[in-house]
Amino acid sequence: MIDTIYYETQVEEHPRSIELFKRFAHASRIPCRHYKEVFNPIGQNFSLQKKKPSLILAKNSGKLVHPVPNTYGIGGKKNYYFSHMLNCLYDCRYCFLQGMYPSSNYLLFVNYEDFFDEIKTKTEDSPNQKSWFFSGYDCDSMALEKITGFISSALPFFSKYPSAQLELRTKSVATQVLKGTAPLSNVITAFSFTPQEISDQLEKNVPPVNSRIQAMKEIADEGWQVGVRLDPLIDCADFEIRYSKLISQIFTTLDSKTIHSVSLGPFRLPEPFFKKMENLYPEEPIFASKLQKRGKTVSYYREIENQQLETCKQLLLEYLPTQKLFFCEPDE
Amino acid sequence: MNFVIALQAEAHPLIKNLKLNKKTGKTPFPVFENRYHRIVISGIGEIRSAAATGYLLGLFTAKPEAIINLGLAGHGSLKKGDIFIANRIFKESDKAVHYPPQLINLPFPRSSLQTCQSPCEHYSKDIGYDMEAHAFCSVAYQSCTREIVQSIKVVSDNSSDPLSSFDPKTASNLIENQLDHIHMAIEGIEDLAKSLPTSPVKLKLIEKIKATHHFSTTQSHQLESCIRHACIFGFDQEKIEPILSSSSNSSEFIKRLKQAIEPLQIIS
Repeated sequence: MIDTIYYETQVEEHPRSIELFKRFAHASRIPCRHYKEVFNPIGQNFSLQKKKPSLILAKNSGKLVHPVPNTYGIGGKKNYYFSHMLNCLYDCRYCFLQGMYPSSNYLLFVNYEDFFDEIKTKTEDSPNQKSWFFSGYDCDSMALEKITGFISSALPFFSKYPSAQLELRTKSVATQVLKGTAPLSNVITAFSFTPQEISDQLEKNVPPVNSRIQAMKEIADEGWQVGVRLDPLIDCADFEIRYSKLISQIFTTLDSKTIHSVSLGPFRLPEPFFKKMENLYPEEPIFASKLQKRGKTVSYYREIENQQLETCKQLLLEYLPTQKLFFCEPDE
Repeated sequence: MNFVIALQAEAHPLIKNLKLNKKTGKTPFPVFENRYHRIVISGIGEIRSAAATGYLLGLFTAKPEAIINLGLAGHGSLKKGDIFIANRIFKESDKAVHYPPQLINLPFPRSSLQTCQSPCEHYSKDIGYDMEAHAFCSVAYQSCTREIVQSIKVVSDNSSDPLSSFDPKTASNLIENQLDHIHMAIEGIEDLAKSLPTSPVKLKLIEKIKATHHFSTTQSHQLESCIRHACIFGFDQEKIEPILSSSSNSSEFIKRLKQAIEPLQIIS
């Protein structure tokens, strides 16, 4: 799977690096001074690298936990995100990572303990309220768990800090790490969905919707909290029929009481990301859809966006109380 | 496929194998080419390699083209006659290190490569030693997609067969013996180049439209975007002509074309 590993010389002896070197014993190992030498140069082609991503092992020495925009979140007041990894196993055409990063190589920061220290500090800064930590912004939280082992490191940490809430966001069905562990009430595993027909067109390598719903049910049955993320909503023919079918599939498989939250988010991309993505895939219909620039963001026409959100809201409220429904507003 | 090769002796087997002809007329560097391939002979050293690569880039049209820097190199562990592809290219006097992305599977080794200012006779590390690759990458990366810029070397000398005993007459043989591997690399890199996207816009159609009305720079971008969207969603191009002929100016044309395409602009 991985046949080239770049590594910062400072993490060459890190136990996680050594473990990965062993695991991918046949991979070429290429030293670098700083991961940015490999990851950041311009002129790399994100889509070509997706054919065979390399692994980059590094230490993140900067700020590790960042505030989340006010318009995001699932009910908490203190919201942060962190990225122990950049880039994703899957290849979703709408994904902003394509516009944000010059490379699609997997960049793994092996200093997990530093992330946990910063999460601990943020948690202790607000002892009387819950702090939320979102892990799946710059990677799929779960898809590469067999390589990263991040969740198995994170769970013991979060078990000690009940006021620190962790959201794992994923499209993966590889939930083994949770199945073998006693459920934690402060960990939410949120699964992202688009209707199957849209997934077939836009979400390369992503497991089928049915399999993901089944995976969600299995961990919910074991007592883990689960969430549903319909973000981004994709404008498509038969929008209402398709989203209705998807929502019905989810809620006929899972008891809505086991669902922690559902969030809806419109398709939105910062304009520079959109332009880069359009250049990467000039023949891609999603980038030629009814989109407009609003502020610094490219989104569907306002009336389409409002209609999509309202349609999904009404469909969801058939199954869920309004308190469990959240909206991610674009930052215009 | 394009090549930057230091010496004609190194290029000779490929010139013969690919049936290339010397470009006539005055050129700053000797060029051998046919319809599909082009070799620029740079001469030895970084300055010549950089200049030849820059000259080559100037010959490119809009379409993405791949380049291989091919040649002989010393090596700290590989045998004389072995071939390798460089996955890390550095030089002592420059902080910039190049990491050519490794996306193709090849049946020969990858190796670090140090570009030296003079021939290296101390093979102290398990790496290759050449005199051009770093400069080649530094220039090629200015305008080429990195994945399709690669440096491939055949080992001419090592600690058992040092440079001092190297017979320049054998240069061609060393390359010739690796032609099969070189062709595998060419094929793999060309496949990558071919998979780079090209705009679906029909340039002739745009030229025809622009000949009918005046389009400002902004309007030209809008027009190209509109025609691209039309192509993506399969808008019947025969319907464009009547819109064009009945529009009194470019603004009206763009507006009406957008309106005509809009019902199609949805993912099926």
